[in-house]
Amino acid sequence: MTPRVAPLLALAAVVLVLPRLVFDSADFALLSLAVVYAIVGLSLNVLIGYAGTISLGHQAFVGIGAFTSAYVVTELRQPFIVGVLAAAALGGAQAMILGGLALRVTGLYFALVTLSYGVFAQDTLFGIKAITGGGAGRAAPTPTGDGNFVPYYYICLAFLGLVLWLDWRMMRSKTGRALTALRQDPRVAASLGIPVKAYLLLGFAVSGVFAGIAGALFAHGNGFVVSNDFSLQLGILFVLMTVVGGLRSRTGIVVSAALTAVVPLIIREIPGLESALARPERTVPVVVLVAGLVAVGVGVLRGGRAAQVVGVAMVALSAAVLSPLHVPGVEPQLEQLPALDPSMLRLIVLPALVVMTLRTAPGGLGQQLRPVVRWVCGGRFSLDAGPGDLREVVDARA
Amino acid sequence: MPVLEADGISVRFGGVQAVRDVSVHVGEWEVVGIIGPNGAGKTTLFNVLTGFQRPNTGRVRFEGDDITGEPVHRRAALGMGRTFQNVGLVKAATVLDNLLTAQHMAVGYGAVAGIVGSSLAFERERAVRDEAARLLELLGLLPVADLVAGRLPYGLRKQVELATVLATHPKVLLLDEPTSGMGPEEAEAFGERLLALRRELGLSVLMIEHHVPLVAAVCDYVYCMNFGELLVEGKPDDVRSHPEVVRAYLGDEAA
Repeated sequence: MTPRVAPLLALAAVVLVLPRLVFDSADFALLSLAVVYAIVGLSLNVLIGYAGTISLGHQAFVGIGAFTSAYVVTELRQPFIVGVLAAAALGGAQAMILGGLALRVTGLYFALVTLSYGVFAQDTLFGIKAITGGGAGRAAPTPTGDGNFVPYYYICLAFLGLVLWLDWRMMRSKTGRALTALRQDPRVAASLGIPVKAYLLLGFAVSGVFAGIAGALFAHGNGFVVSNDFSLQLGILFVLMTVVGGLRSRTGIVVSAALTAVVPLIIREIPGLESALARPERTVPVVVLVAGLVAVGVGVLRGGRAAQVVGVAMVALSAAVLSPLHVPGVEPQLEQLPALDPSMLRLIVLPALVVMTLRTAPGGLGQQLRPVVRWVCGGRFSLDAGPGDLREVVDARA
Repeated sequence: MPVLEADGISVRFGGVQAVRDVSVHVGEWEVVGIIGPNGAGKTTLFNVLTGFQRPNTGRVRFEGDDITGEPVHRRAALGMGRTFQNVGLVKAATVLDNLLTAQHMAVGYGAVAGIVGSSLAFERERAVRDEAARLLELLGLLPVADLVAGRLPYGLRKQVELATVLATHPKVLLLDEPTSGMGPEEAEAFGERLLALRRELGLSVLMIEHHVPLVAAVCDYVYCMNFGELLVEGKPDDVRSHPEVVRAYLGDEAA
């Protein structure tokens, strides 16, 4: 298959040129973050998608990269590129150590170890004052100059390209085949001569290197790193965006991660959305209204009498609250509720998308995009290009 | 010198003695069978030989070297190839990819060289692909090369599994019920292919098998296990007609 040149050029134009035309230079900070998230997604994909394990502490992987690079650049007075390389090396090393310790247990217990590692890192590791600056954090100057994010965006893109290349080569070489084999059946992998534990550790190392690079880019894009940047919430967001993107689908993960990162920008661009979100007396009835409509729909389709009754009640109640009639006493009550932080929206929308992913398109966004990707790569355009075997039993277990 | 030798193997799972003081040996060029009713401990013994199960007592030797403590992948590197009762394949991968995976030990470049895309890795990948195609052609599997292994019919999956094991260049094959799910004619054809492979590749074989006519036709030596112990051993015809074996399979009245 020879790739089609025209769509690839169009894609390059969208990624390289379009942002210059559409966005202010200030928005490029967020666009850089989108690229960083894409690298984080690819890093998690190595562990969840390829190796069949999980990491709920990936914010720590990214954080260690961020603090390493910040330290190397500000304290050791090294250039930016040395900081990124150091972050990649240390990211890989810490991931291997965690893997070596955690792989003594499996399944849920393994997930718990990674989760507590993430919390430990934020609370303790990132509190070491000599390296991270303690709670005050550490400066991480943007290499292209303060506030000059346009060239920085292109630097991030170059690193994303590097990560994509490494990922692609890995999956096309013996490492990719070994990871696939041990994910599906470690007994078969071992009896074909694949040292299962060593390759799992290699998977951790590769994931850690990617995460370290992402962390360094994150730090220098922010200009500053504090331990609070790397909360458990962020780690869960990383996992969600990766699964929604579609495990083992580079395209899907990059798109999903980038979208996740730019949600604040999208919210700002839709007029009135941001102020509406800040008024719970408006948003809560809308959510109840939508949930009620879904309940009625499901009740009718599946023949559930209770769902229909509850749904109708929800619709009627919320409609009454929203209508000009006003239900006495309800609105002041709702105003007492805390406003919805726009960034929290991702933690509500993404889990819903994960459920939909598992129910309707097991390959996630990547499965939806697959016909297009196939076509761009020179294949025939076919809506059936997303094969059903993208879903595996191991994914459900992990 | 025997290729593979197990001496006084015992395995205990909690209160269950799965294998008790069993010794087997496979000489060069020999085809050796293990028979016995379900639950006799045959597969546990296999797991000890291939390294999935540590024995409580006893030693395993390969070409004279003690390998009792060696992990599974190291034994594969020494030249032990194993098939599984429920077909050991990477099910979501294509047949071709399975054969590439099976050449893991022979690819001849490091994992890191593969990840950074060194020219050596590109070159070796081409050689590995040629070898896979050669093996598939040899076994008549070329038409299914691009199909997903897990979706093939059962009999074909078993053939692909054999191809992957051969791709690891084994000296001794350990086959766990290779003809389960096959009819009598297919089993007979399998026996002929096995003998042909032994001739061409100089293999030794140890196999668990229920199909008694096949065992009689291809095996040089047979062990019969029951309740974790060795019941009888000897030439196939002697074992087959041994009263203990008949009793183990058919019950007391028949003997």
